[in-house]
Amino acid sequence: MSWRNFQGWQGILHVSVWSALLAIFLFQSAPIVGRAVSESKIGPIEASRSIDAYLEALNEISNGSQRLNDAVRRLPEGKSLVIFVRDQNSQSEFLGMLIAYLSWPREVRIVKLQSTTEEREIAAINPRSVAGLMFCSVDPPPWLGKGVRLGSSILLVAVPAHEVKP
Amino acid sequence: MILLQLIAAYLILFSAGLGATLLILRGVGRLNLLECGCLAWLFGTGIVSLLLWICGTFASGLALQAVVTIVCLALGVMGWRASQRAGAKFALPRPHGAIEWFLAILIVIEVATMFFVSCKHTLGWDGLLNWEIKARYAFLNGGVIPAAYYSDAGRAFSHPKYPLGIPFTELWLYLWIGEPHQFWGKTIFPAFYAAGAALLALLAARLSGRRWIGLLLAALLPFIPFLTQGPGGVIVAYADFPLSVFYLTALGYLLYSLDKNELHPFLIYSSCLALLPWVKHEGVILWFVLVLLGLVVSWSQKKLRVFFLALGPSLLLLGSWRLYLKLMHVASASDFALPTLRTLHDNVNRTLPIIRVFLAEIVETSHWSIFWLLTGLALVYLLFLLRNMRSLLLASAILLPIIIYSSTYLFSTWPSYTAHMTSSFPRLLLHVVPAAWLAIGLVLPLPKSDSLKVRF
Repeated sequence: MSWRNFQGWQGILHVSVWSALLAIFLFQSAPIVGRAVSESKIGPIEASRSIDAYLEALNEISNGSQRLNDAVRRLPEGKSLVIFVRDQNSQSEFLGMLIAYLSWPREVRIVKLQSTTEEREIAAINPRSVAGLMFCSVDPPPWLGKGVRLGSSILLVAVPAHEVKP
Repeated sequence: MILLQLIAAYLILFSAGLGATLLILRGVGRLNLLECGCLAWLFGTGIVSLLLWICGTFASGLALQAVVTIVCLALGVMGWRASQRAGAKFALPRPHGAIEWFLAILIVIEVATMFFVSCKHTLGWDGLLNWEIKARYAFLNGGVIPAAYYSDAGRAFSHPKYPLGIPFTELWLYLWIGEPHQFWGKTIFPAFYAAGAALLALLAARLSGRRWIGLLLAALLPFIPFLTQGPGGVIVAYADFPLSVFYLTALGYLLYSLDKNELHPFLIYSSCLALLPWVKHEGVILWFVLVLLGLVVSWSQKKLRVFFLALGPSLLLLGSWRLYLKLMHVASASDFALPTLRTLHDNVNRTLPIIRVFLAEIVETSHWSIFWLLTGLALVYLLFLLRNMRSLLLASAILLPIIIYSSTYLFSTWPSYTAHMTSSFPRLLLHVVPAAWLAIGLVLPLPKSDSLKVRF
């Protein structure tokens, strides 16, 4: 069978098969695409629109970029920020990255915590080079004292908080 | 005020792109306005981002913006004068008949919808933390990415070694708006969609000889769920769809150059080829595939000298970017090991699971509907029924990237390479989607005599 001789019943078969397949394609796709088109609405036209929306959804904080920025800016200059996130927890890791994004140009270090190494990782922090500890969906050890809560899942502990110790 | 600044940024970008397009098309007497507009967008983004990167080595702030603006406007003037000297005339092809009008109106509505939906959604994970982050940091540093960013281990998650084509196009808008504005910066992505849909329509119409085929494909394009609403699709501001548009354009014009003994399709192929690795890291793989196909075409047309000259810009850009990253001591957080024979030997047992994940993905109707079934059928036509040079090249352009992309997971360093594949492979498939539509477009119409073909 050659393409050039696609006549008669072969032509009819060709048209029928392709028409049916394209119809099935549209029939399956249209509802999914339609949902994507209809869901959500145009939000505020603001500079930090995306990051604010994420912080509101994941951390229940409005105007989150501004508030996190202000909190980080108040920390001592020239020192780094250590961000603790829960390993294998995409929400916690994403929040940690958002904080790193906002903290520029401050140096950051993201530490992925597994429950067994938590205390050890925090105790290993050198308080002289660190301005603050940020906990994303992670509970800080009680001996670290009180921090500043920035939404439902982020906690900032300024250093020295008892010069970080166990 | 912000809208005026945004329009100025877009117009200057278009000026650069249109200038480059008109210089490439200077021997062509009848210029398709739609084609020029789409190419102007693609080349404009490439030129502006490259200029910001290159000029950023010696200027910053207002000086950088001024230098780039002057070069862009100068390019526009040069292109315009070249087209005027050649006596070129612009024409906008009009649809013929009710079906073509219906499809054309549908495409316009779809493009408008894509702009609207894109405005509703936020930047996705990669859109924010791989691409926009670079634009933001560059903006805060006067238009130049600070050297400290490249070697910052704490921000290695944002892949500092990824190329700057997309982030620096966003940066261009930021510089004109005067602030890093995530809402307005995101508007470049539906613009890429508009250019991609129009180029798909044009190229498919030219290659198939039927305008309605091109219009039908462009109208069907947004009905792929993953392209429209998936993580990696148009509305979440990832680089994957823009990359697929550059790939389609380079491939389409390469195939077009088979029939035409003219230089300009090959020059457009060459220009888009150079920009592929500048849009996304994986663009290097697509670049490699297109170089192979370009070599075959040049060999068959006995114009190897032109081909090797056309490779120049790509090689220069690739080499310069690698050197730049080396000089910046870039912090590397690679998801893949070096592809050595030893690693291949150690991981060869991954082959079957990779094939299984691949098959599971292409039959995932919530991502693709039955698009890959359509593509598979088109490939059968191309490889077994049509069997000419063009069909073999087109089939290779679809199959080779998919095979290479799948094979890369043999070298994945993730604890679970299947999880790695599940999370990133759908986005990689997106790169060949417009090219696959082109294949479908070539096999859809029944063969007719050449006299029935129309001009585009």
